[in-house]
Amino acid sequence: MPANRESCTTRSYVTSPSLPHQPLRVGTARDMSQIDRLQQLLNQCAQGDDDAFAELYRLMAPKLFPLSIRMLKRRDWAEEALQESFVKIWQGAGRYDPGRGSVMTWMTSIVRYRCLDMLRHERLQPALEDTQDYESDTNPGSEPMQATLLSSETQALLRCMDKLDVRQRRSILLAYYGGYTHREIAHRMGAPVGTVKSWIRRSLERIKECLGI
Amino acid sequence: MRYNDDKLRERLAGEYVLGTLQGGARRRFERLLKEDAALRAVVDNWQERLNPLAEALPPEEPPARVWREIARRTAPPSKERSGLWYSIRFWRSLGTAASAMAVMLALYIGLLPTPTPAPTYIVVLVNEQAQAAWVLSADLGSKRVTVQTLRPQAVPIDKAFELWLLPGVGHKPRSLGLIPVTGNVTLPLPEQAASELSKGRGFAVSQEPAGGSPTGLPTGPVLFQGQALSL
Repeated sequence: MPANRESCTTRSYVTSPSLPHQPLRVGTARDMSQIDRLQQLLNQCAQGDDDAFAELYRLMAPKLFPLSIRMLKRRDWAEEALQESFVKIWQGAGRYDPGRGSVMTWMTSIVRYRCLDMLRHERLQPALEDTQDYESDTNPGSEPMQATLLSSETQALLRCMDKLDVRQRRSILLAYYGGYTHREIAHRMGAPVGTVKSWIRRSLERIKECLGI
Repeated sequence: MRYNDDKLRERLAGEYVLGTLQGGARRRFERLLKEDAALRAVVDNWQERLNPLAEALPPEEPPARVWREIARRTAPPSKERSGLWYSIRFWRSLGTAASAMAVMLALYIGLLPTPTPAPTYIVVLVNEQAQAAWVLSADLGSKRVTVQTLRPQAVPIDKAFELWLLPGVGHKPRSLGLIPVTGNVTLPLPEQAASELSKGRGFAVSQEPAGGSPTGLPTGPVLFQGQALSL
């Protein structure tokens, strides 16, 4: 099943040819009140408020679960990673420093690093089973997601991604969503490892430059 | 690797966040992060740049069991299970108490009236401070358990002490009846209880309503415990 929701989401944003010319509205999904709310909940968690923790889970788990599914490719592992991550979030709530980034970013990092650990250290081999298409470059006409559902940060990033060369963009998406190594990406894209390394290096430089942060 | 090169630090941080920094290089980088606040800031910035990608995925509710397990693992211990029944310290103290009791038992057995046939099992019931309150002697031949008070116990007027046989993990405690706060009593030992006792299981005393537990299972706090010792 090569065409799935995921390729649809990423594709519609990163490859839609008209996107860069569309005026992007300021995001609504992660507006100020949402940011404040997450931070408030996390502060309450740090004080042992389990109702706040339940609310934080309710708001964030549906956003983080798809990420762990993409990375681990197996729902049982994805559930385990989410579980471990939220236990860690509860335990580490007091150490969250707003000066170092948003709650959303902090929580996403915890989930991603947990998934990467599971992929690398625990020698899981999901790559072999993965038939997902991370970005279909041949289907630019697919229905784009509603821009206003995405936060301004996500919109800005996707707009920058759109400026990348197709293969560079694909290598970043494979690494980010698939959790693949240089070697695995090279294998999937039929390119030499050295080339993939330079695609990724170049992409990161350009993303930084483009975002201006 | 030259970690003092700014451009290199920038690149490694980006690849660390992306996940393509792997193996030994990743572990070295993680060690370095612990002591290098400036490098942590570089990583923070990369997380801020790249993690919005996660939000581009369509949301999906995890199954309810995920939250149930998280809630279980993050619940404070007292909230989940409370009381002496679940106190590890209490169960651990039983071991110590048992050794102390062995000495006392030897003394007690020595004082038993000689014409009485020796009871098959002896149980000393102790509280959390390892103070003995009763001694039980269970005779499998006559299927009776004799309860003797070693130290009179105080109990609220509307409460009573109930004696339980603990058949082990996965089995419900079995009531052997109410026991006095002072003096002696002899209780019948049910047929199955006798066979359970021969497996060397424990005993407990809980505080219950005056007429005994209304449910057939301990409802009040478990205040005394003891292990059956074969003689």
